[in-house]
Amino acid sequence: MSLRALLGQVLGCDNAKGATAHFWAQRLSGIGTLIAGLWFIFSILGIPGFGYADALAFITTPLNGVMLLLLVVVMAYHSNLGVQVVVEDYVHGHGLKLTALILSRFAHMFLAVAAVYAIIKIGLGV
Amino acid sequence: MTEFRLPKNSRISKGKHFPAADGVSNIRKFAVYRYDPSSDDNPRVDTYDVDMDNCGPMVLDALIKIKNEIDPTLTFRRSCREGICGSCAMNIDGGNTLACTRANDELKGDIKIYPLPHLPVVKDLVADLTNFYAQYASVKPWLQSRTPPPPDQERLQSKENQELINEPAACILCACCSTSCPSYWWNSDRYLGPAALLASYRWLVDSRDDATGERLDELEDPFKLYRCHTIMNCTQTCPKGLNPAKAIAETKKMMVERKH
Repeated sequence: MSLRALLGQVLGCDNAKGATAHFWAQRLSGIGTLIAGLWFIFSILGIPGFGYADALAFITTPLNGVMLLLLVVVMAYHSNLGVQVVVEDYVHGHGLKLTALILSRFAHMFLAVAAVYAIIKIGLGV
Repeated sequence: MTEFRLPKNSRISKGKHFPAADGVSNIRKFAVYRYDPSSDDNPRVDTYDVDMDNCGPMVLDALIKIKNEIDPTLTFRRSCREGICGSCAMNIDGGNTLACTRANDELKGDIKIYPLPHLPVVKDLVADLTNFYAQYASVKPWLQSRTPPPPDQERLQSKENQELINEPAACILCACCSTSCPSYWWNSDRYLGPAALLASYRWLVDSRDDATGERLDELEDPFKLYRCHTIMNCTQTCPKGLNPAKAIAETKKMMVERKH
């Protein structure tokens, strides 16, 4: 049991700073994901078929390759920020929360790098 | 992790039924949450049959009638009975509101009354608001000015400037909004909640206050302000018709604007 005054407890949760940058990045990456996502949906609807050759032709087109790279990077970044908020909302044990946040960040980085690697490899044909 | 079931000693059991006297025809059932910390019993819901022909129009009238005539052990806060003190805030028919301004006629079927959600219960319908008040105090809800007041008059306020604070200053601190907010339920130890943030906004937009920068600095935290996810329960439930969600959105806008 703590006898610390409640006002002290409330004020004791000192400002962690940087929260507005997180908020703003979440909004901007959300808009970016929306734009790139809409591009992706309409582009996919426009391709002639869904075979291997069609996919290869789609990705090797420079504009498509660049837009796909943007999509996966912005989406992974946005998801990383969003999952962080969800974990902070619902996971309350300090150790568990930190572990979940670290795992989430690593998983997002891994997925983003793997997707970027795949798009570049296919796009450049290396 | 988040608990989705109530702890064992908080689970609610069926309580007593207090039937109306013989010959009473116009009966309304009031199902009221009861908890007595001096006993080891779990909380329960007691049901009171109230003679509506001899009862005032508001839920508070019925609660006072129950306490006076049926069960004097029922405990609740009340004072002004006209929606200005905020004492009788409780959860009525699933929504937080003031018992003194909610008419019985507006509610259908049995009237279910619980204390404000997700706060420690002191007794029956009385919730512990200590943390809520500490959070209110933490936003320094008073004028902070380094500008000396004019020697011969009060600090003047234009009509337009006054209009900015009219609404946020009308908050009566009943806690209906904060305790309706799921984000506040999960993180009330760090998230200030809509009521305290509305109070903070009231001073952020006050033309006589010189501490806007410091006030925004205080909110530059992932929890204090940014745990608001625009769920809007606060605005929907406010018994005074205020809009804390908009005040929070405006505060976030001020935070972003001063960075760019």
